[in-house]
Amino acid sequence: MLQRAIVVAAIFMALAVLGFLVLKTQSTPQDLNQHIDRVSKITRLQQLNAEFDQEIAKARLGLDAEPKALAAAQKKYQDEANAFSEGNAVLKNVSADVEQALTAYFQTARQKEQLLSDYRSQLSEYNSKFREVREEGQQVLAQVAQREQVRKQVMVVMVEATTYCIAAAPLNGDYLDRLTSTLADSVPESDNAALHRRLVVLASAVRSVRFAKDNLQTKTQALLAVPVADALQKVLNQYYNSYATQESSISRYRLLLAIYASALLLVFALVGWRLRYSYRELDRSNAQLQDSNAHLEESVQARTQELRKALSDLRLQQTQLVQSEKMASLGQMVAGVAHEINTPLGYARSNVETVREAATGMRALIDSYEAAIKTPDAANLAQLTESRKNWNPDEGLEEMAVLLEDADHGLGQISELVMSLKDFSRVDRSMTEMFNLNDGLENAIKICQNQFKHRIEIKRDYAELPRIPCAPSQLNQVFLNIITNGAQAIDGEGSIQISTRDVGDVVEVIIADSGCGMDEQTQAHIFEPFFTTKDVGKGTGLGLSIVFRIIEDHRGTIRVKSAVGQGTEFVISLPKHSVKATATAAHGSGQTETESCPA
Amino acid sequence: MNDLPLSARPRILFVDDEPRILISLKAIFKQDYDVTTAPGGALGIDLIKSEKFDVIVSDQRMPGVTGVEVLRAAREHQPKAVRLLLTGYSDLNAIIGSINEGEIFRFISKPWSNTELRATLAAAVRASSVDQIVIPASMEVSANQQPPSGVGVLVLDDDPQTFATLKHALESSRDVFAASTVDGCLEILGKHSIGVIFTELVVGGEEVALLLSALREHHPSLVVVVITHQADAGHSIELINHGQIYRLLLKPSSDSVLRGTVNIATRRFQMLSQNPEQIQRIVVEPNPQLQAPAAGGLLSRIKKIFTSSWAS
Repeated sequence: MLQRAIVVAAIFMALAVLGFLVLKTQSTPQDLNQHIDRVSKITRLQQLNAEFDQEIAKARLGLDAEPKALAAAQKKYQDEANAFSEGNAVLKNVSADVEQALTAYFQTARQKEQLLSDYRSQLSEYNSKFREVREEGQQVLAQVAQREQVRKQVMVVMVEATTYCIAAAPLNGDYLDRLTSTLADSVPESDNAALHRRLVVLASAVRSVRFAKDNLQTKTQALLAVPVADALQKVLNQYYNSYATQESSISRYRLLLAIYASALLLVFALVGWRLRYSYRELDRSNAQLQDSNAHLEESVQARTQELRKALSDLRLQQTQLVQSEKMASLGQMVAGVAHEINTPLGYARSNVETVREAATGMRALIDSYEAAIKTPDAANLAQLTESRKNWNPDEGLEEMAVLLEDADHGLGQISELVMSLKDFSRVDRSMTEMFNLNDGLENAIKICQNQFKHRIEIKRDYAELPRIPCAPSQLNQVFLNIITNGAQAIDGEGSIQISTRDVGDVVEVIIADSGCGMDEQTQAHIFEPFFTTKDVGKGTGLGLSIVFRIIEDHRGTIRVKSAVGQGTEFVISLPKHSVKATATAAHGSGQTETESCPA
Repeated sequence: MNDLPLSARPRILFVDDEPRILISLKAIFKQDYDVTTAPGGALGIDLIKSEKFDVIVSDQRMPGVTGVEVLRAAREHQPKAVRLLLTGYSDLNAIIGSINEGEIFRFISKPWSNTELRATLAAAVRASSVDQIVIPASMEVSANQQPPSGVGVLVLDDDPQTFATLKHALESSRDVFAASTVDGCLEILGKHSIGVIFTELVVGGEEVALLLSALREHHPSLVVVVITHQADAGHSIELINHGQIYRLLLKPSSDSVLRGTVNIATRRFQMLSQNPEQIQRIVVEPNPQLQAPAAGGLLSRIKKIFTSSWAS
């Protein structure tokens, strides 16, 4: 989940970086147009500035003419310059350097403007001074037309003054000064006072126009010295610089983009290769899957075979276990029965042997009697006495009678025991028959009682019971098992109460012992196979599970009530009219055993 | 024998809860012995406490008091009396109890043969002619003290654990030897002075019972303790009737039981060595297998060992 989120984020990042780089390297045609426009505008401004400067230079040559060309050039330049100054419209947002250069330019432009207005006033002053000189000169010339010397002198002054005014850097200043200072002297006041005055006025006019010209010259110099062109050039240079910077940054981004794109491509190639590899793996496992799919049938078959074998093994084992449980309870039974049979067998056999031995003595006595009857001589009578001493017929016959009677009794006991064993196992009877449960209980008691008859009292409380359809040998086994368990639960002396009841449709058998009882946990498990509280080797733990199965086969129920220290009570309830007493599982493999166990 | 006056006859006590058994036994033995019968364990113990007997024969399964309890009482109150168990069927616990607690002379099974029973009783009467020398210490007391030294103990078992356990239980430098085969056992018996032998029933696939019978015949003072994990009733009866083993222990046994057993067995060996007539009390029925030709080699080996080293 997290991994997937990380992958998605990485892809988005990669795409975002790619987009950013593409954006950075984008130089639209608009940009180019703008660039061309900007450059041309700056260039044009430069050109206009140059023209404007030219006009300024020309203007002072205009002498008395109005500087119209200058005004026109200034107007044109001003218009163009306004485009820049109006919020830096043309070179807006290019770069700080450009802005700075532009600001410097605007400063110099303003300076130039100020100087220009000075210049213009100076220029008009100069123009009026010049006009004054010309008019004065023409008047003087008109007055001195007869005086060739003076006229020449005035003409020279006029020419020199005009030359001074026209030349950009006049060299005839000193000469003009000299001429001017001597001009008035050419016509002494005494000669012609009026003319002399005129000449003095003219000379001062020339001096003032020279002064005005010098002034104008200085202004012009100052005006032309204002570095507008430089500033403009700087703006242009800065713009070029910044444009180049921008271009180079774009090209740097372009390089970066190229590198990034190729790296991205490499990554994609890697992913692709990886994907291809995965796909190949997938293909292979897919093929395997198909292969195993094809073999599934076979393996299922094989597995089924194995399972079937395991099942049959299990059944066999179960049968063996049930058998071993039977053998174990049989062993216990045999232990008791052997003692019970061996005791009467012991005395019966011994008695028979004793009687046979006595028969020898009897035979000797009879022989002695016969001999004495035939020939009652002393020897035979002595023999008879001897024989009587060896075997006393009074005692001997009585003893023989007792011994034979005991032997008979012993044999009777044995045959009774054998009968009850036979009744119990019912090997010679049909499996299912009508049977009185009281008889079954008696059989079971007879079989097992000898094991504990001296310490445990059996209390019987039988009701009149109808005979019910059942498998007696199985029920006998059930009773034997429960009674034996009860006896084993009693440590020392105690009692087992066995009751039967006829309750409606069912017959109940209640077997209650006064033994140690069980806790609830044990009670919950007692009918499970292999559950045992006995020591290892003392029981297989199958007894009560078999009991449970037998009762269930009879469509009956078995309940247990117990408390630790208060004994245990089993209540078996069997139907009087069984649907069908299934006795087929009598020696069976216990197929239903596990299912029939309580959870 | 029946010529002897009644008072001189050996006194025999039969204890059984079935009166007909007592009648039969009395019918067999009343001619030769002074027979007393007790119809139950409690009555038997009462008689044992009040009267002297030479031989006491008891049934095992009786209401209230078992045969083992009767024999234990007999051993306590009348150590001189030779004790026998006459039983139709005995579980293993009863047999082990009668060996260890009753120090029984013979097991007799029901039904019996009168002839054999007479022979057994006769043997018991002979054994009773020697006064039992009581080894005072009971097992519980002797478990806490070290057994007397100088008597070698031999462990015959192919499971080394037994030897280790015993060695651990004794915690001493006592002479304990281990053998894992019958041959090894004989070798050690020839080289060292062995008084007590602890043995498993089957060693290296070979049953030890025959060896024990042979040893009993040629080295009767040797005290045999069987320590096994596979005791069964039939075997144990054999071991008593033909081997007169002293104790039968089940594995695993606690250290204190082992130490106590070694202690008391050693004392018994010393007693038997010092009082050879006591051997009379533990004579066995001759083992019919010893007469078989296969047993010849074993017998001659044992004979050689004990004539060469023990006679000197």
